[in-house]
Amino acid sequence: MKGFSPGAFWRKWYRQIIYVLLFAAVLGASFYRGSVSLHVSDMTRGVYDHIENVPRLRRERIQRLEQQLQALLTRRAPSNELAAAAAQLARAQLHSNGVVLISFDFAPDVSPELTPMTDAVVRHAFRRGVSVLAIAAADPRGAPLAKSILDSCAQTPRDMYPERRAGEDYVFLGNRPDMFNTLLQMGKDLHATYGADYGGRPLAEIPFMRGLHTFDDIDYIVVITGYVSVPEVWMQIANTKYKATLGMGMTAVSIAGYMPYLHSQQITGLIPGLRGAAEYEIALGKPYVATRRMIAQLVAHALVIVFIVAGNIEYFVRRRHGA
Amino acid sequence: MAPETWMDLIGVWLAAVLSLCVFSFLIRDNFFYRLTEAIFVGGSVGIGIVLTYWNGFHPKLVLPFRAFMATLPQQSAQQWVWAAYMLVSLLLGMLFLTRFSSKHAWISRYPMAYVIGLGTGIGIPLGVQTFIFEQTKATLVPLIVFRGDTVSWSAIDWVATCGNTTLVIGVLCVLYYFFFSFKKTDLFSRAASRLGIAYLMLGFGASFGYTVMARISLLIGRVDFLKEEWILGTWYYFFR
Repeated sequence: MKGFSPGAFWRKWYRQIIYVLLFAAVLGASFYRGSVSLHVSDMTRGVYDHIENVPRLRRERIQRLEQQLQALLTRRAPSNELAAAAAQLARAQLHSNGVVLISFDFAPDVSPELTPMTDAVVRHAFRRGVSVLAIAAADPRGAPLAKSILDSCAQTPRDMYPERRAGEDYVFLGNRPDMFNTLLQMGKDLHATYGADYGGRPLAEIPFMRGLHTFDDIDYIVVITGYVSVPEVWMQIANTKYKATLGMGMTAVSIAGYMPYLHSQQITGLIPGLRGAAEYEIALGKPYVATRRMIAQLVAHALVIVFIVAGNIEYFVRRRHGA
Repeated sequence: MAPETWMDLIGVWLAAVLSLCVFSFLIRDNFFYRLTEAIFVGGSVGIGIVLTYWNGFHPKLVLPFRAFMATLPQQSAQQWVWAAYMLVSLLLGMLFLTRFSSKHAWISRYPMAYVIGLGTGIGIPLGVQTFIFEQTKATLVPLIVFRGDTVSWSAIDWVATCGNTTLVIGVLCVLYYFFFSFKKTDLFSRAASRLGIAYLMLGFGASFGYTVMARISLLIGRVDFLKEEWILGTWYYFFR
């Protein structure tokens, strides 16, 4: 072709060529239906193991509360103390397999990364027979998405558990503005904070909610977020102030910044992006969408490495030629 | 997942066309990209305002106040205090709207002062406890870790020992790197700063790796949507 120079063409269109190659690699890999072998990291295992242990923790808690009540009866404690201990025991017994609070703190923009992870965590809780209380603490736009994920997990159990019912096995409270103050108030009174569930049904009419008044009645909190600063608010209020046990799942881009909190045991586990979701599915023994997407991730990463190496070679060649 | 109704199909097509408009930015900036960006920003703000009203303002203020007004003559003193508290809160909140007038914008400093004062009062103790005390405590680790209670060479847990030593040296060197009170000309200062930079670079490298993974995850999600729900979904909708 007259006047065509590959060098000039590359310099003009190299960005677009790279994008097209990346798109083609991801699209091509998405047709492959094989599986990948993944090691479940300790970060992901931290959340998985804790949810696995929630029913045992709840049994131990009920035993402890029974012993406390017995001790109060033995020493003829005042009636108000007895009533408070009995109410606490009754609340604990209402959810005999324990309660996990899952906060859907993300909007649809990071849904491809966080939906598979949330799906796996909710299914795990359902499989263990754990009651699921869900909120969308950080972003009102996340509430409709959260509702659809919860309902989908409840209605399509994929042979992992019997179908779960809203209001009995799980409750979604939606969003309230001002996350910081909402969490502060939740630590004192969940009912006063939300008043009604996402569908507008008063919490007083939902039997599930009778066992839940504060963070004390919740065995484990999993925060799944795509926002920087949301984990900080959860750690300050739920963990530092109210001593709740926290686990987190977040977009891979934020993970490195939150590893110190894992080391300091302020959180028990940290699920890192799509890879973490795939690890969680492997741990569950039910590989699904995240595991399948890891093949595309593998191909795309290989391509990025090739680009980086090629870019470096080009840089050194140019430098040698004095360009 | 194939669309099941006409409305589903229209939604899928709309999402697919808007996705392609956003991808068109990779060729060059253009009208379709800017249109999609404007739709996204406008839609996000709009839905945010509506949801904030229905999730917060309506259940927390409108409904309780309506109930209060409906039974006004029978209200107790406590209920009147509650109503006064809500009215003052509402007034304080509405003062934020004075920002729209350049002449009265200064009034918005009052609710701002309340919010900042409250936030600082609650936030500082919790922040110090969460981010300074707990993190400092996690750095105070033994440099030599022994397995069990025996103190001998053979009982040293080398993996944990290396991990803890690396952690402590890293924290000290990075802190030293950000210590600008004097010029670092001696050998120790330069070596510690260099090591600090190396630790920082490792951290940035890990962040970059995770960022690539995050962005590609989003691309995979979109490609999956275009392939499964748009192309195959439309095919199944018409020809299944």
